[in-house]
Amino acid sequence: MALGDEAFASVLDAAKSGAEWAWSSLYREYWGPLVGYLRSRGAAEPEDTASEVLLKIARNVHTFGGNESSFRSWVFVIAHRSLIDDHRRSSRRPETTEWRTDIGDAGGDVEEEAMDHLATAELLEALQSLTETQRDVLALRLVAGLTVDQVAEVVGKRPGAVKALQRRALASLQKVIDVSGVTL
Amino acid sequence: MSHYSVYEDDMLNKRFPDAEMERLLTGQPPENPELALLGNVLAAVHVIEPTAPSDERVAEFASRAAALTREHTPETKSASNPVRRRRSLATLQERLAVVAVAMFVLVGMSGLAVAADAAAPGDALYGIDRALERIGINDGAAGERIAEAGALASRGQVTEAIGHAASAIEDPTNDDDAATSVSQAATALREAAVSVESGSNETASEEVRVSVSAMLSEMAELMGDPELDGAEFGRRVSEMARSIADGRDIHEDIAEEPATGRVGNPEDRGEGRPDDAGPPDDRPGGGPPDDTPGGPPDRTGGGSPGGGPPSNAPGEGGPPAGSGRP
Repeated sequence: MALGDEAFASVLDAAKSGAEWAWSSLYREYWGPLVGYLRSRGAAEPEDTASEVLLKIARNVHTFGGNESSFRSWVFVIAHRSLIDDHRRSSRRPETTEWRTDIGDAGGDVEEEAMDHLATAELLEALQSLTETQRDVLALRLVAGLTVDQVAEVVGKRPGAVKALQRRALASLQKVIDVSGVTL
Repeated sequence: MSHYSVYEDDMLNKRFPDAEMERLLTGQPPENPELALLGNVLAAVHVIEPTAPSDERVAEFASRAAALTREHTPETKSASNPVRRRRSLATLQERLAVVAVAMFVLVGMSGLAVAADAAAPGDALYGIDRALERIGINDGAAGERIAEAGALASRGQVTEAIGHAASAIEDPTNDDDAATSVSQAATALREAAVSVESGSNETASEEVRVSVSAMLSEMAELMGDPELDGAEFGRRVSEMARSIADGRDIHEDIAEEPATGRVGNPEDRGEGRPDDAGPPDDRPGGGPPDDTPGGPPDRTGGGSPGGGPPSNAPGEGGPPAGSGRP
């Protein structure tokens, strides 16, 4: 998933000097997690927004100095702010956003196994039961693949607060699973 | 928000210790069998991989991103014309003063924040805070004088304000320092523009944020324009500030171009620049317009001032030798 620090450094240098191959590489690396995160948090046009986020990165990449981890945080800080603006801009959208996922289309044994026991509707219901911030944290961890520290930077909270949020989110999800009476 | 008691938190900590949470959130099976189903559900979310972008999409993006990068790299801004460069440096002090005044006025009148110097990473004002630090006016007596200048400017006494602020800014000791200051200040302004434009500050309306962001971007561009003399630079910046303060044109511009947030008088930028601003022949005129929806409003109608044609930019022909294409 990650390029590795050494490869990242050379890609970053090339990107800063305007090399197209480097931007292709960064785009392929970040587009998927960005679209996944933006879609899961209800972005109106997740694919377009993902590209916009990366173009903002391109405009400002000369100001960036850091490793791959901090670059990843930076990308999702901008994505997170785009989402906030997106939600604010859209008067049609409700205050809270549904967690949207393409989980029904995803393949793989793990997904099938889970779906055998828990209907998609119940999973979505479980996700809707979370607070907005909890959903943010879960989406950034699960879909964007960020660490606790990176999520903390994106949502502007301390790592300890992020851990507490994800702990409560997990407890809420477990509660829905318990109530639904589904067993393995 | 929290309905959790200390006791419940304690129970949660025991049920979801850190290591167990990490397993659950990184797609690994949990150790506690009671959490197995939860683990499967989370793993299902974890493995979702959106479809990869098409090759066409990647190519289009890479081309635009590479062009933007070359346009916005400060090093490429300083043209090698020594005469032009010296003219730019001669007005550095005044330019910094104008920027400082404008920023204080903006911060004061836009309601963006009361305490810019307390801004933390992630705050809308963080970029402004850093810009002020880089320009070197964010503390001590200089800060007070700039604040006084801001007060003068907000009463319409812009010329006096600039003079007052200029006295607060030290002369760079040599050309290299000056060039670095200009470059850093411009960079900081761009950062501030991105930060403000995409920020989530609750006290500023979106219109104000977009307008301020547009202004900061314009200022960043003007900072690096060697053809503008100090007075012209000051005139443009103060015009932008006034247009925002007056709320003039903002709503119309937002309605027409919500994503770019251009403000002020369109004829006063880019191709419409006054004759006394110097010939625009050093600009890559008619460069590719940035039509990104939602992107920062950082264009001035022709790419970066003095940026030179893209053909001069390094690295255009592919990866640099020996850099190791991954």
